[in-house]
Amino acid sequence: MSLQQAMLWQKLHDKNLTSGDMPINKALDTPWYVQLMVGLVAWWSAFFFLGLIASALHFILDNNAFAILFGIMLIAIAYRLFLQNQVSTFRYQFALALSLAGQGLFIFGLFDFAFSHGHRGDNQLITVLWVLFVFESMLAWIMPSMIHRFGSALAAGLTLSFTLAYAQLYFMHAAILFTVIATIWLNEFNWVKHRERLIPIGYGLTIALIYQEVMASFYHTFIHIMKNWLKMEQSWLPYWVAELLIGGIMLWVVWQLLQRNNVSTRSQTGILALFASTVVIVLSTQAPGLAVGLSLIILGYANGARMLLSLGIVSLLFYISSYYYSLDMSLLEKAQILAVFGSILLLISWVMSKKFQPKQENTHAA
Amino acid sequence: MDFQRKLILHWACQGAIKQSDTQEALNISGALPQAHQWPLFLATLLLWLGALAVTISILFFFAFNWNDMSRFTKFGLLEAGVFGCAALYWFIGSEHFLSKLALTIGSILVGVLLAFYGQTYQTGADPWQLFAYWGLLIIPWALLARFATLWFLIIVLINTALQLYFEAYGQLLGLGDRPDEDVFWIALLFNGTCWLAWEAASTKFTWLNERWAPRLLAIATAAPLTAMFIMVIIESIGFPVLTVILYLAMITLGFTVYQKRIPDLFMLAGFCLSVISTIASVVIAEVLEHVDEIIGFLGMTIFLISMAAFAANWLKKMHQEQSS
Repeated sequence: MSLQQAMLWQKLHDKNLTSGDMPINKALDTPWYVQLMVGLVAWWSAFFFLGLIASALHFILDNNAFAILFGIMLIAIAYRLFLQNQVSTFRYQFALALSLAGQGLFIFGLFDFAFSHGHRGDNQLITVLWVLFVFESMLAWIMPSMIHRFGSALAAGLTLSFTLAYAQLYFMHAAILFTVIATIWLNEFNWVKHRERLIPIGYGLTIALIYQEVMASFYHTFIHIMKNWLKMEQSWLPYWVAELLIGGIMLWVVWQLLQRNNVSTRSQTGILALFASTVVIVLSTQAPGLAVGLSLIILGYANGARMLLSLGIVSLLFYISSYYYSLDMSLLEKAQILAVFGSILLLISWVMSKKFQPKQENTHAA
Repeated sequence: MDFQRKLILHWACQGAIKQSDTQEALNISGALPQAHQWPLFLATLLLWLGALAVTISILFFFAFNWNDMSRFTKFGLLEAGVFGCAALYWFIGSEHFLSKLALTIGSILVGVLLAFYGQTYQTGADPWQLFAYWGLLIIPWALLARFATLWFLIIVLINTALQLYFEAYGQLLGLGDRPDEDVFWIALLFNGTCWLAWEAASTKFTWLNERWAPRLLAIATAAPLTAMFIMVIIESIGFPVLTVILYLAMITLGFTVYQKRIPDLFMLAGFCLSVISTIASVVIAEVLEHVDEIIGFLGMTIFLISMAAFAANWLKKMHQEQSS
């Protein structure tokens, strides 16, 4: 037990927030780079395992029903291994490799089953994609492994993107994802007992959402690829509608955070916060990704989640960079939009610093 | 704050803090921002975002009108930018973060100015010269700013210059018989030197004490060295003795220094990945070709998982030791 831990425990104990003895210190949250190293090697071994299956059990690959069933069986074994022993890293790694191999077999069997007769229709593809989305969502929820939940949630988010695109609802999935993400992060502390499940899912979906918003920056290029390469039909929903939906969720996030800090929406602070959010939302219809990036930063700061805060900052920088390459507008139009947008934000910043600075100075003087 | 947050959430998961009390516990510990901190945070965030947007709008505007401007206007704009950043540094004062940022932006503009100069007057200079002179010209500013990011920028520029020189002339300092390997040697020697120098200097200059820089330099050194080591084993090419000695020295020293002297779990994880990669490559190259395909695949699967599990267990133990 370190001195810092003991002091923190005592501080909380004095406020009657703790019960029982302080839990024994064990290695908290293995750092992400260790998880990444382990994940990379797990992938490598999964490829060899698939190679083993291809060599030894090639009849499984010849029959798509066998491939699907065998894939599910491998995932079930992996699940049991994850549950059985969370301390042994050997079993953890083996389970991860098994699950990855099982998912590969399942996806192979599914696509082979759907398109085995040489016919590829959009309805078939949409059905397969929905099945994949449900499959990965279930894995993200069920599998008791942080890396697995993160990967499955990311896969589910990306699959949803393609599914809705083929269903002519381009960009709608961003609003859906953002709703789920905001719900998770706003309730991180209310659902703390479930955070081992929810936080990796939250991060996986966040990465998928950032990717989606980057695609929105290249709207016309994306539509061109969809229509000419992937033979998709025209979307009946323009992307700015999706941005407005995201904006609505952003307002909800801001409102929730005001409530958390006991700030009334009718107070000056509350009105200013909601007004600034509205300005951002309007600007986001012209600069996709702005509302999402800012919301991630605000959520990250509110929850003290530095990784989320960093993701928000990185996503904003990424959107600005991709904005330069976007062919939707000329450089002059983009310059005008950014100048107006920047000026408005600077003005709001100035108003906020003027309004709140004197009170802080008076408080400090007292 | 991050430490307290993780600890409290861990205690809440263990049931030592009630779920309904978690947020209050986090507030008391200072892990979450208080109500009075929000206005300052938002004002700062909007200030940075607004300034970035206005700056980029100016860049976009000039990019749009670039072709219509005379060359003297273009030179004037760039030089004004460089001068403006230097002036900003002088006005704000050397210790403020903004002044260091201003010098960094000015350093980037120096490169833009050099590139535009070469493009306008068609001096016949090679691309590597641009990056080399750029790096050399901004050294005085890096000495003045005492800013880790600026020094890292110089390292990136010199790296680029070396690679471009080698691409143009096919040799450097006697290397060059095997271009495929020698480009690794250049990256390895330069970045390795920078890595050692940075770690040594950071013990004396606290402003260099940012772990991200030596970590990136370690990746830039270890990656080519690992690749060369694997090539020596698989194809028996290159300078086998020197490569093996350097690789073993890096691994031995790396594990010793970053375990005891400068505890850094990121470095240890990287070295573990390097060792796993090299051993796996040896096994694939020397063993698999002599055994049945099925046994080979099964063996590799088990081998890789075992190596990863061993490394992960050891790293978790190191993490616990370093956290306590």
